[in-house]
Amino acid sequence: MNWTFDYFWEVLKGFFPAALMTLQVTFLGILVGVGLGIIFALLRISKNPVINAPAKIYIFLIRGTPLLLQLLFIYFGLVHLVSLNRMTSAVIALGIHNGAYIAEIFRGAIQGVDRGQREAGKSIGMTNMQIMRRIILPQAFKRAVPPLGNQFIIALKDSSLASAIAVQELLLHARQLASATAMTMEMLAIASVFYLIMTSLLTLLANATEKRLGVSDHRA
Amino acid sequence: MIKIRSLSKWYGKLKVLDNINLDVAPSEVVVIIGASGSGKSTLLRCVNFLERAQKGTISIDSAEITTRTKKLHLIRQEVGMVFQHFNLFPHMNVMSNVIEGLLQVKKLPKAEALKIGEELLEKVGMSDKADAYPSMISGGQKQRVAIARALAMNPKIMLFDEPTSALDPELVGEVLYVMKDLANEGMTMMVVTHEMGFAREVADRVVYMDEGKIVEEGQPSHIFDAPQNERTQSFLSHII
Repeated sequence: MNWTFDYFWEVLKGFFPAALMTLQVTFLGILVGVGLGIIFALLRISKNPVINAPAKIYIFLIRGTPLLLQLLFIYFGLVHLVSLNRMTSAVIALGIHNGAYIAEIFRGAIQGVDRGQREAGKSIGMTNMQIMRRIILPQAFKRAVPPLGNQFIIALKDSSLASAIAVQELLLHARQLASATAMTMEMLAIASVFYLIMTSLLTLLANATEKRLGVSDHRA
Repeated sequence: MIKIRSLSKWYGKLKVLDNINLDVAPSEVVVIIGASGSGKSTLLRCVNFLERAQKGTISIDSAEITTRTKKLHLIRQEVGMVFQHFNLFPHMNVMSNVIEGLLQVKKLPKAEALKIGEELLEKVGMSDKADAYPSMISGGQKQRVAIARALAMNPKIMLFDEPTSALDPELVGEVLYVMKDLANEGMTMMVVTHEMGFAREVADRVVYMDEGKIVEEGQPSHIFDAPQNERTQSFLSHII
């Protein structure tokens, strides 16, 4: 083991592009996930069985199978239809996977808004769409922030599974270095620190968002 | 103004409303009293179609309204409602709550809506709290804002569903004061309440309900001082 400062610094610098890839995959995956989540939450809430059935099926399938399996399905499956690079496959898989959980988070948040709110909106003549947009969704989003923050942290860690299809993210990079230098513990430790920093930043962001949205919750 | 004919609603075997017939004339204040489960809140909520009865009809201003009436939300503009638990929009401040209907439903420009909002807040005595959020004001204040919000739509009728039941006793007066004022101005009102003092003072007619039926109705002096029906007498003896 010949650690010199220069060597350590070189190794560290090498981790940054991988960390960036992790962030990119996570961020894009979350974007897709939130988009799908909102759509499927609203579909799932509908009382019309034709509308809520696809949502129920999607949520059932995605929550019932491992992310790794879904990732492999998408990568090896889609490769026949469209030429997708690995990062895109990872983003799609992560997005679809998180979408199911986020849909349930939004559904819970929407249904958790007090029934009286809907009634008050109706009583002043608002349409169902107006009530959803102006009254229910703003309150639901606020409620959804803590579980969403949690889900985003999970998504960040799940991005490590993209290593299974050779996306050059943090974990894959650490393992490649580990096998090249035989310094497994050191490389994994460095990757751990990177993950910890990123999840901590996410947590801070989630807390700040919660606080900012809680402006209307003051007590006199 | 309101004609209710043969209104009935049931859940399985339970009859919540049993063949209700009731008229409310313009500018009349009708107070409905009764025990919990008597159907009085359900009756009120049927008038603005928050609940649907299985049988019977409701006409507002001679226009019969059924479940098949298109644009039910437009009809609801004519019927204002004040809820027991206020139901103010917590993510909006007091002024925004009051003008929400004006902006979204009546599609008024903001300046005009604000002007109406200011007048109404003045009327209910909440002008100085226009920027406050619902979580910062007391129950009585919340209810007065709720009344202003309902009045903003310029309804023909105001429905009050136990407006003071969730309030601490010392806050009840300020709400009843606003309601009395409204009655004196000639608003047609249907009020479900346990506040017998208010009923005696403000009601044109008192209706006593029990088990989904109207048992007795008449002027306050008749109901409170000389109830004819045994069940009415029994109910009042427990309340007063």
